Amino acid sequence: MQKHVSPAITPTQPLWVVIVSAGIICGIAMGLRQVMGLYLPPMTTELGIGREPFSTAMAIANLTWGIGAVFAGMVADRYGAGRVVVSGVLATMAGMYVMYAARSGLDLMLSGILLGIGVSGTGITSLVGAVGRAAPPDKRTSAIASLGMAGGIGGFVAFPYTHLLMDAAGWQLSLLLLTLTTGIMLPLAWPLSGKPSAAAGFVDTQTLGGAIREAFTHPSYLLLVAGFFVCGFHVAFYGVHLPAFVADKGLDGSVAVIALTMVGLGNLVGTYLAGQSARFIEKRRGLSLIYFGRCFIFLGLLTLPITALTIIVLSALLGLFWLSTVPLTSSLVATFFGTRWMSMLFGVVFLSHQVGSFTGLWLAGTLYDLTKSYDMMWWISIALGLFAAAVHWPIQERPVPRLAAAT
Amino acid sequence: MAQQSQTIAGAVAQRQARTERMPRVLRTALLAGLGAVVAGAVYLLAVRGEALILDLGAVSQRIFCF
Repeated sequence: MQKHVSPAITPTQPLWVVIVSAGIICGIAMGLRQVMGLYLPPMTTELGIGREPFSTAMAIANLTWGIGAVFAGMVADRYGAGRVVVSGVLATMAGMYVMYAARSGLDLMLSGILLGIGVSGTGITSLVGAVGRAAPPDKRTSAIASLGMAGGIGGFVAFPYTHLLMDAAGWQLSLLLLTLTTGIMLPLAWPLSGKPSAAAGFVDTQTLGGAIREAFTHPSYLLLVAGFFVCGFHVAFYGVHLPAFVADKGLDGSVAVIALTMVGLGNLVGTYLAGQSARFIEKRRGLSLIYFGRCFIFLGLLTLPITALTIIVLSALLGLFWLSTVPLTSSLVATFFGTRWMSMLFGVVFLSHQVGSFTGLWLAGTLYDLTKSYDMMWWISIALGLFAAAVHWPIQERPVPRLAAAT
Repeated sequence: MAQQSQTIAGAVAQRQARTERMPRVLRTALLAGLGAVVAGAVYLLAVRGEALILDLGAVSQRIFCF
């Protein structure tokens, strides 16, 4: 499967250039992906269409992203992330322009597909392989954590800035300005371009089919896929339903704003710490602890007296466990299979995350309608958190025999 | 043998080149820029956060989150 060759002769970019370029791309992409919901009220009013077409377009974008991430990862792993990023940027720009010029629900759906393809190419899944390959194994988790932090910053700052932009310039002009902002990513694709080169003195010549077969017969990888479903479930449920939960408890809307801000800030700290933690504890144990920690927070929301202070403090703590799963999960993929097909294989794990997101949102809405309470959802979240903590614990954190024999 | 050691030396040199640290000035500028952007976002959330949540509320039940 492998052959030993001399390292690539052409000089590669310094690691920090790769991280900064990928980080800015990821930050912009995650930010743009988050803010599209802000356009629902003005667009539906302006176009005289119901909310369903817009919501469907956003759902299509997210599904396309989840599925597209696997294919974008495949191309990035084979030909390099540069061209995938460029394609993603162009698709995003086209999607935003179609949204700007939309006259019907069909236009919005086309826009949703283009935006989904766009974020598949520019989001964290297609970049994780480039960064993972550029970083030496001992720095890989922290390098990917930097990427996760950049995505977190992008998502965090995009809402308030876009909201301000929409107020100042109107929704149509703001969309055009965002389209131009997207263009910033184009030159940043250059440091990520080029076919993945030899690392550590050998080239992994595993085929795509071989990688898929190997991954889907690898018990630890399947456990990782199952665990990341829970991450999506928790994050989507909490992020989307917290304002309604806060309102149900008779608290002011500002509490939800502060709480979600604390989640965003806590996420930056948590992702950084997760990146550093890989030097001290096994990644699988770190993941188990993260999911276990989430259980305590959800239990707190069920059992503690709900005041503004408890919600804000628990949200800040939850932020520490928010997307800190990403560097650990993606690094585990590289630990198992190497970096040859890292983006593609992480894309599969990420697809499970998106299915978890969808399930979390759907179930929360359905159960709330049935019971007029979120209690059942907190209990389900605790149960799933325990499940995720349990499935990560027995993961075998070592390379497959194919790689172990080659090193 | 000589060829092999050349290869190893090349690999080490390449690895060192790739893992060199970001220049201090650039790192400081990057961190300052990021700090300013995040601080600006926190300020905007403080003064306009509720309006933002209201606008998002309409769509939040139907989209995914990451």
